[in-house]
Amino acid sequence: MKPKKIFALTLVMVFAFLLIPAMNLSASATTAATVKRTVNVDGFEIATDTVTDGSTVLVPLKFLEEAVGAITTYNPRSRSISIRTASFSFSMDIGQRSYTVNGQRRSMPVAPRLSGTVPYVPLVTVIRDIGGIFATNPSTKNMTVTYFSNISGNVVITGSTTLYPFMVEAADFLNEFNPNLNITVAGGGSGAGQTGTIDGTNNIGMSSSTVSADRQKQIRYIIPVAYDAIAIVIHPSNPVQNLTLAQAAAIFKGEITNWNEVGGNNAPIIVHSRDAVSGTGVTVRELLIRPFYGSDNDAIVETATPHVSNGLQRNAVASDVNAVGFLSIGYVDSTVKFVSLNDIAPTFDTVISGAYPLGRNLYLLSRSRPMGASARIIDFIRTNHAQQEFIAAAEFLTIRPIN
Amino acid sequence: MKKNSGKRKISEKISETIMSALAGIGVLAILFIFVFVFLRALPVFKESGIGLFISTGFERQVVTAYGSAEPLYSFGLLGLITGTLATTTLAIVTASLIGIGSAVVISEFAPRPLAYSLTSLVRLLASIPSVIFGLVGVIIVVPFISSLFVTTELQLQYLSRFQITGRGLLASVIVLTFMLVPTVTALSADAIAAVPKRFKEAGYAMGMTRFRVILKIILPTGRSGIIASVILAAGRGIGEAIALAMVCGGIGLVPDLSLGFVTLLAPVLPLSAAIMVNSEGAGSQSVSAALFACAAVLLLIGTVLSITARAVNSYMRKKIGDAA
Amino acid sequence: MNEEEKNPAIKIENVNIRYGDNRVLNDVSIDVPKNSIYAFIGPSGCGKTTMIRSINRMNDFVAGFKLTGRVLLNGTDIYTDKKPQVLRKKIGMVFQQPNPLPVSIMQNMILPLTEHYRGAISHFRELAEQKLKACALYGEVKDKLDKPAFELSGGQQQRLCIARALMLEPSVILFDEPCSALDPISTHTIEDLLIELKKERTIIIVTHNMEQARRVSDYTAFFYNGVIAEAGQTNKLFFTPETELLEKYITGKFS
Repeated sequence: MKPKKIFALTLVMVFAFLLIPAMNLSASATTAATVKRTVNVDGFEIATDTVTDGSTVLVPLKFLEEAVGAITTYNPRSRSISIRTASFSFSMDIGQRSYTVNGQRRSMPVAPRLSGTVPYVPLVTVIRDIGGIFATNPSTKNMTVTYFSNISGNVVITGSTTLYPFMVEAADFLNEFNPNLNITVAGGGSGAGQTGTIDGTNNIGMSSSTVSADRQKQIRYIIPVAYDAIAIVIHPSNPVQNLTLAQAAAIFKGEITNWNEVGGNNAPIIVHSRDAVSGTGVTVRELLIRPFYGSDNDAIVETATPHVSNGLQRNAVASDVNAVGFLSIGYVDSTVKFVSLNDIAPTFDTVISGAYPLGRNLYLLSRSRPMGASARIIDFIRTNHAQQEFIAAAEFLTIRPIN
Repeated sequence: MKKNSGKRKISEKISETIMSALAGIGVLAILFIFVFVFLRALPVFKESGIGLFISTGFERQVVTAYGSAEPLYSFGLLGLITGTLATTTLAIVTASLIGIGSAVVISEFAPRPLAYSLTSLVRLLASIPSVIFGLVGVIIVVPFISSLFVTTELQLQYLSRFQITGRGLLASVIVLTFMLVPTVTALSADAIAAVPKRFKEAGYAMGMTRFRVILKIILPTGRSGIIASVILAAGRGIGEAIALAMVCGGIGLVPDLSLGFVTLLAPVLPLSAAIMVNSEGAGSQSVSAALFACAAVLLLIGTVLSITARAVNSYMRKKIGDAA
Repeated sequence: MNEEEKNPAIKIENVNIRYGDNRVLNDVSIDVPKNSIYAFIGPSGCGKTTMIRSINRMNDFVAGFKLTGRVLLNGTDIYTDKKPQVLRKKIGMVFQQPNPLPVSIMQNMILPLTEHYRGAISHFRELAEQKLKACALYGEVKDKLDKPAFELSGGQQQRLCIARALMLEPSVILFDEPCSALDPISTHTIEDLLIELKKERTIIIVTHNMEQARRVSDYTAFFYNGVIAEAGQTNKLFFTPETELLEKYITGKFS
């Protein structure tokens, strides 16, 4: 062959080889370029990376969690995706247009794909299947999702007074934006919330305590919407760093009365607590005292100084070197210091993993698969917006880190 | 001419009717409140009986009632009642002394323009919302009492009975006094300024010193206004919830005088503060009834206060009849 | 000059009075003889009330009051004493508006005594009854001595004030327009009373009623614009006024 021809052929082959990685060999295994866009979800602009295939916009699973409150998982080995809202369960695969929702087989306009290692799924499909409205403005190309502002129905929510404050705020918010929606929220306690869910006197139950195995047979849907952690706090100058759970319980029971019994100074332990009806106080009794003293004897020591709010109790502990008290984790600031319990300090990770002993989930309950308005409400609480506005604002821990 | 007077009579009659109706509505509203509160508190009265007034342990009973599935209506308010009485009485005595004294100084000794500004200032103080006094109590009064009187020895000594934290009877009395002095001062100053000049002149002209004129002429003449100011302050003191809730210590102990000075450092829980502190539990039937029982007792105390005040005033007025 | 005139009960010597920068009385000199009734007359604002109130030091209460000159009670300058209270026991005052205190008649009467003396109340009550009789009031009130003084009529109240002023046995009593708030009959009763009272004490009376001055007083001083325009025996003054001012005042050309 002439050298010119060999050179040209080599060049073509080199280009060909270079092009191959740039091509998506399997039908949908394209490492697509992502574009940052905003989606208007019920009036809130949420920014996200997107991938566009023709006229279909795909979004990462994270977006579905944050905007719509879904629970998503991705298995990189089997390349299968699961997306769960309160009412709908999706099963998808990378590269396949065929998928199932609640067992029904359907087909998407384009297949889910990876960008890097992140799976992207068609937004329109998910939204429409869960009952929302997805629209794209033909001229501006702006995307809107309507899912939380076209709800109608009557929903009754009852149960734990720990969840009550933020649930009632969220309910008011939704009621305002949905004229045909009427949510009523009432307290009564976790127990009442669970029994109400079982016998149908509520549509959604609120519980700050775990559901027994027995009851789980009748309450099929237990959905976490927030984390609650109680920190045992002392004055920053108190040398004590750690307490065993037994010691902490004994202190609040008034059985350990001097700091030198737990490695501190020779000084009286001044116990601060909350007033009789505070949810935080109930948590401390349930999680800390009850395991050691039984449910008939779980009251905090009589002489403890009660305070009306977390803030006031914090102020009291911050101004007394011998004080001990308890605060919802969100209230701990530099004026007090927490003790680690069994050498575990309360952080976002230790609480979510369950390692920190005084942490717990706050749940919404449903007897069977939530439908209609109930499902939307549960999804709503799990969106980033609701988590920020209502959960974080109530000083609880959100179900995912929000910046 | 005849028609004119007829018209006037009708419009007069209309205004009279309207005013009587309004007055009637006012009276009915008060009656309604009494009836409503007592009805809501009835289960507690029934089940607690006389124990309501002679037994203690309210905070504990609320915790139990709140967590119980069955409604429980047995409560003991003695600690709360004594807390209210002790706090208000001590505060009123102090506030009256300071307040009436200040009123005398403002009305009698201050030069005219200064007296006017002082009275305006005092009136302003009297209208400060109580939560601010509560904050001042928590941030200034409690630490002050703490640093002055609370020692580790004292805390250890009484730890089994109650915690000494600076919050308690003394803090409550101080905070409440601060709140009530402006009220007493403002109204007493008005009463004192309203004493006609000629009465004072009569006293001076017969050779009385300023102090004697104040004591024997001004204060007795302004007596009904001064007493009214004290009663008003007492009413406000009894009903004060939020400021006291923050500094009272939150535990309804009956003040035990055998402890001497330490009685002042022990925690108390006045009725209004108890209502405020437990109001979140009003969702529970039992707790709600308990709170209404506290309210009913408060209404009772207020009524007794009102009646006593009028009795005192009319007794003092009768004294004119006695020949010295 | 007769005996009484030589040793006046009250001697006002070159008195100037100002309130702050405001000159009210200029170089006033008056001798008030014992057991006489001395009237101060003059148009409104002439200073007569200021003068009489300076005699029992009631003007001490007014801010900016400054008196130069001397006011002598039985020879002693009353302004040298730091405590005017003692003075006011010796010089009583009855005011334009009757001012019984809002207590009973008897309590009004004995207050001056209980303030300054120890003694049995019954004794004080006896003295009170004496003074009430001296003021021709006792008969009208003897059945209601423990009733409020306010229940009395205006004229009765004023007589009560006079009786009360007598309780401390002052040697001088000052009357600041005592009848201007009263009806003619009460006025007449009180004028008679004054004439009776002067037998035992000295009386100075401020009045804007010239007829009253003429009826009642032995001596008169005519104040005009802060000075004494004319002063002397009443009869002489009214019959033969020396100054044109006084003549005009008498004939009602100004008041």
